[in-house]
Amino acid sequence: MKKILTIVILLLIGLTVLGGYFFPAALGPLLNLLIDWGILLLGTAGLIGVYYLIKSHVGQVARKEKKFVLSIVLLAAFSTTLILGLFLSIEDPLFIDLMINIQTPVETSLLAILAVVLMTASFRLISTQGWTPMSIAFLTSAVISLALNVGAVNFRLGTEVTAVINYLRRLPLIGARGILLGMALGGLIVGLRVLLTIDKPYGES
Amino acid sequence: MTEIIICPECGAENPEDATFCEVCHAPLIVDEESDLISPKSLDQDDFDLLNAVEDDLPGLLHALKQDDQSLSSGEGNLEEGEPVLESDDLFNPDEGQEGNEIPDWLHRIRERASEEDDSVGEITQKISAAKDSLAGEKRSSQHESFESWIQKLRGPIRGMPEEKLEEGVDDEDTEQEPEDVTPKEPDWLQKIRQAEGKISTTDASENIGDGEEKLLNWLATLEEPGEKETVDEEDAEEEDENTQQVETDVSGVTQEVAVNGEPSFEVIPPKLQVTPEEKTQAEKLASMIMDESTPRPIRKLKRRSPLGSARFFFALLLIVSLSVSLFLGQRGLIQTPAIMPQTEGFLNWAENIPQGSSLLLVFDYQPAFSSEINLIATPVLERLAEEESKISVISSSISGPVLYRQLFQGIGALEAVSIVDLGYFPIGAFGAFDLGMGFSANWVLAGLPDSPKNLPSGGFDGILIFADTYEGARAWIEQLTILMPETTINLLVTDQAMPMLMPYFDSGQVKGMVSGLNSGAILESELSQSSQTAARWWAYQVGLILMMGVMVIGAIYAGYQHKEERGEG
Repeated sequence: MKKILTIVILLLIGLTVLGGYFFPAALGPLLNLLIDWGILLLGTAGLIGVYYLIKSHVGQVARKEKKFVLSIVLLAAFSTTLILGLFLSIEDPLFIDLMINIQTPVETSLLAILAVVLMTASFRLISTQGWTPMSIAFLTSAVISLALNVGAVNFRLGTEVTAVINYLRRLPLIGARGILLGMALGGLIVGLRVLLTIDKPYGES
Repeated sequence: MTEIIICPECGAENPEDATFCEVCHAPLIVDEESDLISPKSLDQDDFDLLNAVEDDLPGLLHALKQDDQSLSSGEGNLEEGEPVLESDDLFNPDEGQEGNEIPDWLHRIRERASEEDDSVGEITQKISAAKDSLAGEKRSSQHESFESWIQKLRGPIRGMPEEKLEEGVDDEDTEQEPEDVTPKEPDWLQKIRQAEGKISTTDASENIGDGEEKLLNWLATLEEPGEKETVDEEDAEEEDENTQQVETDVSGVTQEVAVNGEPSFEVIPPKLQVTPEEKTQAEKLASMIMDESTPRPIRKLKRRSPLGSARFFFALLLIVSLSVSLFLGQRGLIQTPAIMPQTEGFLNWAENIPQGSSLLLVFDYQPAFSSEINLIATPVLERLAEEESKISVISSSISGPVLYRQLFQGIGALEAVSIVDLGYFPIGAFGAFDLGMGFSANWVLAGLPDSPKNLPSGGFDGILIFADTYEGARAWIEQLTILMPETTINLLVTDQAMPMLMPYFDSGQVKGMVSGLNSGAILESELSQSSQTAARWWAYQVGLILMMGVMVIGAIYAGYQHKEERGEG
C-alpha cells in the first residue's frame, strides 16, 4: 500500500508538471502550487541537513575525536554567521566586510590550492603509469592550454596560424559538448524511467 | 466413524474401548496418535500423508497380513465394504490418491510444474524434490522404527521368550559378534537384502517363515522404490556406508569427505584461470569494499626526497616572481594583444551606451571569482556611472547582493548610481518552467531579500550578465532571450566559462563577451586610464609560465622516477 501510494503521488505530480508544458494556461496555477511545495520541501531538507551537520560535529567535539579542533572552527563560524545574519541582515556593513574579507580569500585560496593539486596529480599519473601515450597526451594538452591562455602567442587575425590557435582553443568544446549531450540524454532517460515507474528512487532500499 | 485399535502384538482389530486384545489377550497400549486409524489422515496434504503412513504402519501391515491370509485361505478379516489399502497407494501418495483426494488446483499446478520452468513451476518442482527427499528420509527412519516391531514379530516365530523381546537388536548383535568393530547393519535389513538377492544366503538366518518372507519382500520394495532394476552391488555397499548420491552439474565435481566420522559431500568448484594482475585487482577491490577506511593503494611520498631542495626552490621562485610582478605593476608581456571578435563586440556596445539608459545587471558568480570579475567589470561600471545609467540588479547566487555592493563600492558609485535591487532569483533551482511562468511565492521573511514575483520582461536598453560558470550564464541567456528578444545581451565572465559560451556569441544571441584578465586588460586599455588589470594580467602571465615550466620538469622527473622503480633506468 505504501509503495502504491508513492507511485500514485509520483505519477500525478510528474505527469501534471509534464502536461504543464503543453497546457500552461490550464495547469499554470497548479504547477505554481507544486513548485511552492517543492521549495518548502527543499528548505526543510536543507534544515535537516544543517541539523545533522551540527549534530555530527558536536559529537566529534564531545568525544574529542581526531581533528576535533576543526569541528570547533566549523561550529564557531556557523554560529557567528547565523547570528550576525539574523540580527544584522546582509545589508549591514559589518556583515559585508566579514564576508568579503573572510569568505572571498578563503575561496580564492582553495582555487589556488586546486591548481597545485591538479598539477601534482599529473605528476602522480606519470610516476605511476610512466610515459604512456595517454599521460603524454594529457601533459601536452595541459601545457598547450596554458600557453594559449598566457597570451604570449598572439598573431594577427586572418592568418592561418590564428585559425589553428582558435581551433586549439575551441578543441575542449568538443569533449565538453559531448559530455553535455550525454548528460541531457541521460537525464531524459532517467526522467522517463521514473515516470514510467521502471526506476523507483523514492524509498527503495 | 467408529475407530478401532490395532493390537501391537498380533495386529488384530479391537474395539475402541478394549483394554486387552481379543485374539492374543495382550494389553493394548493405546497411543492415540499412532494406533487410531482416522479417516482424517487420508485427507491430509501430501506431507501429512507421509506422516500418516508412518503412523499407520501397524494397521498397514495388519491389512497386508489379513490380505495374505485371505489369499491363502480365501477368508478375510476385513469388514465388508471397507477399502483395502494397497501398499503402493499408501507410500506413493501422489499417485495413489491424486485422483480422488487432491483438489483440482493442486493437480493443475502439478501438471504445469511438470511442463513449464517458470517461477511457479520451479517452486513446485523444488517442493516435489524436497518431498521426494523427505519421503526417502521417512522411509529410512520408518525402517528403523520397524526394527523393534519386526523383532517382536520375529521373536515368537523363533520361539524367543517375551523378556528377550524387550531387549534391543543392538544387544543381540553385540552378543553374537562382540568383536565386530565396523557398524553392522540391522538384522532385518540383511534379511531384506537376502530376500532381494543382494547378498548371499549363506550368512542369512535360516528360520524365516513364508509370511515373514513376504513381508520382507514388500519392505524391500519400499527400500529402493523405482530403482529396483538399476541397483547393483556397488549401490548396496554405498547404502551400507550411509552415503547418498549427489547430483553434480557439468562445471563441478563432488568428493566424499568424512566429517566427524560421518561421510558427507563437498562440491568442488571448477578451476578458474586467474592471472596475477586479475588477482591483484581483485584483492585491491576486496580490500576497498571490505573496509573503506583502509589506506588506498597510493604511493606515499618520501619525506627525504632528493628533489626536496628543488621543490623548495621552485616554490620560492613562484612566490617571489608573482609578488614582484604584482607589486611592480608592469604592463603585460604582450603590449598590444589581438582583439577577439567577442571582445570587439562588447567594446562596441560599451562605447555606445546612451546616457540615462536602463540596464539590467545579472550577478551569478561566487565570491572566489570576485577578484577576477571586479577587475574586468570596473572599466565598464565606471562607464555606466559616467552615463548616469539606471541600473537594476538581480542575483542568482546567494552572495550576489553582497558582491554587487562590493563592486559598486569599489568604484565609489554605490551612492551615485541609481540601483534597483530586484532580489535573489535562484534560476538553477527553479528551472526553466518557473522562469517562464513566473515565480509565485507569496510569503516574505523579514530580514531576507525579497524575491521577485516575476522575471523582468522588458524595459531595458541592455543586459549585462556577470557569471563565473557557463551553467548560470546559459540559463539566463536562454530565458532572457525569449523574454526580451529585442534587448542586447552582453557577457562579462571568467576565463573558464568562455569556451562553452562561445556558441551563443556565434549564434548572435550574445552581442559581446569579455572573459578573463586577457580581455579585461584590453577593455581597460580602451575604456579606462587605469592599469590595475594590466598589472594583474602580467602577474598572471608570469604565474602561468612558471606553472608550465614546473609541469614539464616535474613530469620528466616523474617519468624517470617511474623507470627507476621498475628497474629500467
